[in-house]
Amino acid sequence: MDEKAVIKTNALTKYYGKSRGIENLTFKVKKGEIFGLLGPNGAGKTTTIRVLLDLIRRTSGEAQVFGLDVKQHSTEIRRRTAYLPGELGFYKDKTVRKNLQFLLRMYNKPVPNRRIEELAERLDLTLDRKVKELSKGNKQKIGIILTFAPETELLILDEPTSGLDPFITNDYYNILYEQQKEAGTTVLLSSHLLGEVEKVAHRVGIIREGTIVESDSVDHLKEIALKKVNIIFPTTSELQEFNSKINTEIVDTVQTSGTNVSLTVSRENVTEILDVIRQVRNISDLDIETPDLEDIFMKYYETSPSSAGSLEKDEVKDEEVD
Amino acid sequence: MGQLLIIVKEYINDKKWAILFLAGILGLLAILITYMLIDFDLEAIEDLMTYLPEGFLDFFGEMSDMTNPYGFLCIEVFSFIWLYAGIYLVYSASSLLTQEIEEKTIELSLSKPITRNKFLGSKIVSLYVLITGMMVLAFLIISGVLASSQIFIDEGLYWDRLWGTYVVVILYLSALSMITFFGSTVFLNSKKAMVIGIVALFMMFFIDGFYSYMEELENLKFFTVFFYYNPIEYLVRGDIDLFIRDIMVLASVNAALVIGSLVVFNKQDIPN
Repeated sequence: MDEKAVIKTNALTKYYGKSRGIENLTFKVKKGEIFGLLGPNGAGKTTTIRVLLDLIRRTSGEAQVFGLDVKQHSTEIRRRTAYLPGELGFYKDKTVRKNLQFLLRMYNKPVPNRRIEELAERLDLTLDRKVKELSKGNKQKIGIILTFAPETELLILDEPTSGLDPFITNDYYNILYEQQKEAGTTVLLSSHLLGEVEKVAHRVGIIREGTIVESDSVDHLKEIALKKVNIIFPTTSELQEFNSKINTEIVDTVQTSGTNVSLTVSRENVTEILDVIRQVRNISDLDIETPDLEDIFMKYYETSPSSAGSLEKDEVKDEEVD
Repeated sequence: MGQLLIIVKEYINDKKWAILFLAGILGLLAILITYMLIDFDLEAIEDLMTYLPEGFLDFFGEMSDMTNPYGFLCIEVFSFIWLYAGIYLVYSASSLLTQEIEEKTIELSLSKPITRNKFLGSKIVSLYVLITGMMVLAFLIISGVLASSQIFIDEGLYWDRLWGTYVVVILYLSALSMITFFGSTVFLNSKKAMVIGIVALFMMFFIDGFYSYMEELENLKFFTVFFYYNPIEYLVRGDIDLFIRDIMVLASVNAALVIGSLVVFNKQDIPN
């Protein structure tokens, strides 16, 4: 076990009868980082989290948190972990305060009331209302308090901002940032909201059909991803000249529309494209885009599982080349 | 231990009115019976019994005990306690764990540093505390009623027998509830657990009531909780041997169901 890895799984598999939850899932979350687990519904994000917390039992493979086996040492792991489930359930006939007090008393170390009050005030949540009277967003706020109130080393957050309005989402991420910065808390965050994960995660793991198909830093994923070069020529003759000079071997996809052309190329081949542009001399506009996480993510979901492990150009070679 | 007590305290706090209500109902029933006995000529009833056909008396078994105030109390209150309190307890046992699953509160509870044994143990302790609390209150009310009733004073106040009967009542109701609770750990579904509890309850009641008429099925009686519950024998006749046998068997049934529930729950995936 890598000492710096707070979470480590190896070929982790969970089957529900005959249906697959996760299969051969291998990933690592380093100490002090925010790791985003990305994938659509049914990809296996929640199953992974629930195996780590010993709420469900793995079929095979290894899973360790803090270097401890998730089944053998589940209580110790949960003592050091706060978890926000995707679907929250509370004691509806009790007040928010009663719910929080009851659940937080399960930690051996008492959580100061002051901390609860402080978080509630920040999230604009009334503690003395019954849970059954609250909206979905307000119930989600209780979950947020439950996550951030105790002092833990690991936060496991399953779709944490689901049901929250943009203002509260912003507050939520601010609290997460603070906690992570001040206490060096490790965070495993599962989401399908790529824009949010992109903002906060140091590294992401893309999960597809129960398996991690890519795990890297957001920056590196962007770096290795294909760049999109958009060029606008003044006339079609310049466009044709450009197309005749371009080495189709280095171009992944080309799309033309009127006098516009969009190419996707790897980062190292952008210079060659610029050389061709220099030869043509006359262009109206040039734009080079770095894809956002959503574009990268979609690439993995456009391709077959066997080829999903890379961002190589031949994956999308079938598009038109003029 | 702290976590277990927190959960038990919370549950009992939620159920305090139900405890008071059911104990009150049992107490009121005892008061009603005592008043009924004032107007009853028990000797006349005893004479009447001698004219009834033997087969009729055999069929209704315990009817001859109606001529004794304790027998009357047993027939009216203790023999049907499974109906007065048992069905409510079966219902409570079916939802004790499954409500947490169906309302998804278990996800938050079990993600805290609590072992599954402790979590389920707290539910089981809650059930026993609920039954015991209810029966202790009922015992106090009925004791008060007996102590103030001239008929029972004349018959003699057998506190040890009454107390002993209540111990068996607690074990008997606990066993009935634990069958349902065990079902809830197997299926993790309140409706299925409830069906198991109610079907088991009525099947055992009918087997116990009619086994003497079905020779080929007679041995089934040993597998019913009802067979090991004989309040008339302890309270009216003071049969200590039967009392000890029933205590031992019912305690064993309870222990087996508690252990079974813990083992099954530890193997389960918590539904999402």
